[in-house]
Amino acid sequence: MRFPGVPRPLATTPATRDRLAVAYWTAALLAYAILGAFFPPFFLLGFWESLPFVLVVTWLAGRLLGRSARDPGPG
Amino acid sequence: MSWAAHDLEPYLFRAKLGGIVSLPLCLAGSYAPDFFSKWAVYGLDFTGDRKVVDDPVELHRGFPGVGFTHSLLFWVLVAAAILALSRNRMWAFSFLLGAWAHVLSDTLDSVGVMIFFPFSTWHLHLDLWQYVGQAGRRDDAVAYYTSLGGVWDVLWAVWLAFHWRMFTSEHFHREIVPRDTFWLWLRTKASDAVMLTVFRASAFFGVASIIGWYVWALFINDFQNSLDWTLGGPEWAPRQGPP
Repeated sequence: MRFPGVPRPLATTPATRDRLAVAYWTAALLAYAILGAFFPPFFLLGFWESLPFVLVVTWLAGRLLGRSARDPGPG
Repeated sequence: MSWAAHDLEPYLFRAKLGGIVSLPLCLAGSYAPDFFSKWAVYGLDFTGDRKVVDDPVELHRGFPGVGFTHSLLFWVLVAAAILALSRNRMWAFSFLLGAWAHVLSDTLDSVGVMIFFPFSTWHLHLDLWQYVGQAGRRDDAVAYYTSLGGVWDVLWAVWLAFHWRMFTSEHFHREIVPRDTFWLWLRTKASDAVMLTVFRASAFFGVASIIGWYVWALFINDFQNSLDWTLGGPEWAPRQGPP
C-alpha cells in the first residue's frame, strides 16, 4: 500500500539502483577528468581540489538515487 | 615517484584487510612523506619555472635534505608517537601502512628512497620509470603518464574498480563507520554527504586524475605526447638518481 504524498523511489530494485549508481559515478568521474584535462592546474594537482565537486555529486546522488542520511543506499 | 597510486593504495588495503585498517589514517600516512617537501620540488607554478631550491631531488629524497621522510624507520617512530598520543593501535598501524606503501611505491622510479636511513644513505631504486620532479609539475606529468608510471596508476585503479561496492553508502555505514572511532566522531559533527565526501574524495580524485592526465598528456599537451613503456623511460627525460 502506498500513502499519498510519498514519492516513489527513482530506482525500485537493487539491481537497477546499482546500475544507475555505477552509471552516475562513471559520468561524474569522466566529467571531472575532462575538466582536469583542459584545466590541469585547477583540478589535477591534489585531491583537495576535488572536494567541492565530490561534495556536490554526493549530495546530488542522494537526491537522485534515493539515499538518506541514515538509510543506506547505493548513492 | 608515484601519482595517483598514493591516493588509491589505502582503499585497497581497507578492502583487503578489512576492519583493522582506518582509511583516514592510512590516507594520511600515504600523503605524509611528500607533505613537507613536494611543493618545493615542483616550484611555485605549473611549469616549474619558479624554482624554490637548487637541487629538488636532493631535498626530497636525499641527505642532506628531507629524504628521511622516505625511510621505513622514520614512520615507525611517527606511528609510535600516534599510538602514544591516541592509544589507538588501529590508527597507528594504518598510518604506518599508508606511509610504508608510499615509501615502497617510490622505490620504483630512478631516484628511489633511502629506505634504511639513518643506518645507510643507499637508495633502493628499481628504475621502472624516470624521476622528473625537478623539471616541474608539467613535465613530470608528461613523463609519468607516458611511461610505466602511468601503468602503475592504472593497475591500482583497475584493481579498485573490482571493489566498487565499498564506495556505496550502504557499505560505508554498515562496514566502515562502526569500526573506526574517526567516523563515529565525524558523525557527530558533519552531515552524511560530508562524511561520504571525505570517504570517497581521494579515490574519486585518484581515478579521475589518471583519466584526466592521460587525456592531457596524450591529446592536449604538445610536448612529448606519445607513450614510452620502455624500462626506465621516457627516453627523452634526463637521467636522475644514483647509478
